Amino acid sequence: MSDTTQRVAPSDLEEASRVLRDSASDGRTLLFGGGGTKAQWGGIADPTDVQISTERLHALISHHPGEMTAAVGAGMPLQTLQTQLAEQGQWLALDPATERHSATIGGLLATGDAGPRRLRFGTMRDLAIGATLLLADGTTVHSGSHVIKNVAGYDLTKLFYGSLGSLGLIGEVILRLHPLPASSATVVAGATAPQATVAALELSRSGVEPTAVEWLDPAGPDDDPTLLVRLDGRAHGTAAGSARVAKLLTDQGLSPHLLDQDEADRRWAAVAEAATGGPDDSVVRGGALPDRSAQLVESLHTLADEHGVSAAVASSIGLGLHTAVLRGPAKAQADVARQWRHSVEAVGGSCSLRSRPAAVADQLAPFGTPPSTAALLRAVKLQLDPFERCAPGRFRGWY
Amino acid sequence: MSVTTLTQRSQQIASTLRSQFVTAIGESGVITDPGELRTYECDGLTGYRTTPAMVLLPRSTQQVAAAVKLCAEHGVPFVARGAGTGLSGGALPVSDGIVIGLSRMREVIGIDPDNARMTVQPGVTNAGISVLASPHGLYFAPDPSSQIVCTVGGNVAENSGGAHCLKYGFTSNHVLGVTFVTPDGSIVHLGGDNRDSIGPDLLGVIVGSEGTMGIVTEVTVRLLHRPESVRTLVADFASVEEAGHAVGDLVAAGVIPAAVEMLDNLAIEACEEATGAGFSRDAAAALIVEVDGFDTECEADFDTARRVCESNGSTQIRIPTSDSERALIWKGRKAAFAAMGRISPDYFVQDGVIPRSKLGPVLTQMDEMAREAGLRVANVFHAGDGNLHPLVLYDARHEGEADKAEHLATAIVELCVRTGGSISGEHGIGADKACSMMKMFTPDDLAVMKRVRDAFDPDGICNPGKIFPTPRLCGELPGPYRPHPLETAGVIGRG
Repeated sequence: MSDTTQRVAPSDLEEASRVLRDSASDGRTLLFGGGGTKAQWGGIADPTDVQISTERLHALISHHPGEMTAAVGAGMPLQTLQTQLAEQGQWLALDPATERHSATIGGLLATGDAGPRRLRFGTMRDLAIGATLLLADGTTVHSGSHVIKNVAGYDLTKLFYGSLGSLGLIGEVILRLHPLPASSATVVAGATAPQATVAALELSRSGVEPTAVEWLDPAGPDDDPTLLVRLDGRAHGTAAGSARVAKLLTDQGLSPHLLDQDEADRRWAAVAEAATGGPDDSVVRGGALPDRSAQLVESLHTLADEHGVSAAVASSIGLGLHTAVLRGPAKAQADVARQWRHSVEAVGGSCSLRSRPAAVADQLAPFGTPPSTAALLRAVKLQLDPFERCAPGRFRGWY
Repeated sequence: MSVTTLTQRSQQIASTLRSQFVTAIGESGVITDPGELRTYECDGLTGYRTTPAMVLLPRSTQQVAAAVKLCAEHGVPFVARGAGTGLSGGALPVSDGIVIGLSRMREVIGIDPDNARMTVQPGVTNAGISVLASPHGLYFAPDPSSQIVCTVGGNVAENSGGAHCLKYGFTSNHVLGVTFVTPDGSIVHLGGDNRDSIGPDLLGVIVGSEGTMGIVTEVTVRLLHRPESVRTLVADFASVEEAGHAVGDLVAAGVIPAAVEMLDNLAIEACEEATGAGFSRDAAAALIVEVDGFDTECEADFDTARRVCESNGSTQIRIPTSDSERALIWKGRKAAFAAMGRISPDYFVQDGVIPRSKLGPVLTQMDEMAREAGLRVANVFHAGDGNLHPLVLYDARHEGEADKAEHLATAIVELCVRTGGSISGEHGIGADKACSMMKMFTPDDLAVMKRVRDAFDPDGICNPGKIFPTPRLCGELPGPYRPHPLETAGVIGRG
């Protein structure tokens, strides 16, 4: 943010549209923000003339329990929303690590951030069924509706999924909700990356339908890597399910046990913590086919050892998604991140940077090889934001 | 209404460009014979017909790209086509344009059971994917009623749903990546092995864009493991309102059923005439409820479903005792549209969505509207997600009845929008409903969609005239609905 940045927090969409229209008159650059938990995801935006915060767009606009949908202002914090929905026995089936740090619904849509239970429920790509979007010139656009099944018109909500604010401001979001599970159970077992990879594939075939299968590899020398399997449902369902999971893991040569509720909560909080990293760490997110997981974790550890970097990993191992937190000298962090990205790309995956200290930022590009769609992405950007005023720099190197 | 003779421009395209297309994709893949061209003059929306100047049947991504590049160079519009089962005229040819049929692209590129995915060419059928996946205990979740013949390329274009999408989602939730030919003939790849796509989700926009952004030439789909348990029941009700309440109560009880389908009495009668699936002819409405998943949870869901139906006054509950009995119930349901021929000479099929909780009042209002119009409306629909498929029955031999029926069909879909729903749940907009888009979207909404389209297709040669309302299009009205021959034969259904 530059010293001259004008900060605005519109209280409704009309005001937001007016602010945008005004900014267009003299071509001011724009940055949109919610809880600020993911400002480091991807490229770091250049300083802009105006910073628009969604903090006052925080209303629960409507909640239709019978439809299992809700419309919210983009600035609605996820945690607040979950509390309000819980009164009706419902929730937005999303459990990102950033929830504890005031992540907002708009930010979750703009970044695609999600947590362990995406294994069952997906991400905002699956849960956002409509949105009101504001373009840089103030044009207000509606996409989707309150009904889940709807194929009328282009799905602009998805276009803004993962856009990091580069196409416009997300004003409101319509969400698909789920019933709050009556009961949860978590089974834990010590597991190496290869063991966890095989177990995750077996679990997906087992018929038990866990809601999350996560593998946590803390960097400390005394911390053993563990596999966590979560079941949500009715009490007797999760009891029967966790017994089956325990048997399956035992058959794999692991030593599983069922956690009590407090211990389970503590472990899941640790998973969220592990994926976040500290101010001096680089956080890299890589994804590839699930059966490549062990190979990619091994390659990360080899690189980390070579460069004297400590690497903690939190993996949605059933989906082949890995968050690596690198700690050590800046150059070494950058070298490990860059070389690991090559390893991930070599098996058909890709990586993006989620956080880095300033000293690493100069040495490391936020994304890897531009996709074959870079020209299309740029064409879409120029159609929606022809003067390239929104979030300049967020997709540096791509479009 | 329809153009059946080739225009001068069409003949010119055929004569001047034929040799270049032959060079690009081979003699056997280029059709210019007027008789053969007529095979492609419409899709499942048979009231709209236009004969294209030429039809191309490529076999590879490279051939599609070469063909599209030639179209771009010569400013010739093109329309991609799968099996032609679409119900909204999305594959309606453009006069003086080319149809690129993908029916010969039926190769399976790879099956990866460990990672539960399969990559196929777009001409592979929806059901074909599940057949190939079956030995691995896997299946492809979207299940439109035309699944025996409809292609996965068409599913991608239309974001197809089916009976089971309440729990499992639509095609867009099951496509992990595509190879895609843009309207300038470039080949790009979207999605891929990383489940966290990076950047704006172009793949999510392409799925459901009805062929207006380019041509998908390879699709990587996500496969699901077959659920451990599946339980199905058919519950009869003395009124559609009671059946509607049961659906609401079921969801309120925290159950996300795999499918909840409703048939009203007219639809039950037609299905029984056609398939003898065992529905009770004297019931005012029947609900098919299916739950699936992990054994213990599934049984509990099933008990809840049964209890909810009983407490809403269900007069009879039938539980199939074998897989074949369950299959027959589904066959009856999926043949519902074709079965209408048994009780009415003509009908319009509508596709609208309403908020689930408004099912009762909307059905009552539709009933009143039908009575006012002096017409019968049969209802078959995906009740769980509020996706209605009213069938407006009429007899075209009676002067003015077709017009009345069409007005009623339009009024019904507009009623859906007024309740906060949608003008289409799964059949798409295509040529059929482009004029209704203004009922649901503001001019700004449509203008921004158009800008996104322009990013892909600045010259407007890729399936022009679809989705977006134009004066030319909105001045024309479709003719009466005629069933697809395969539908009449009972091979495929609609909805």
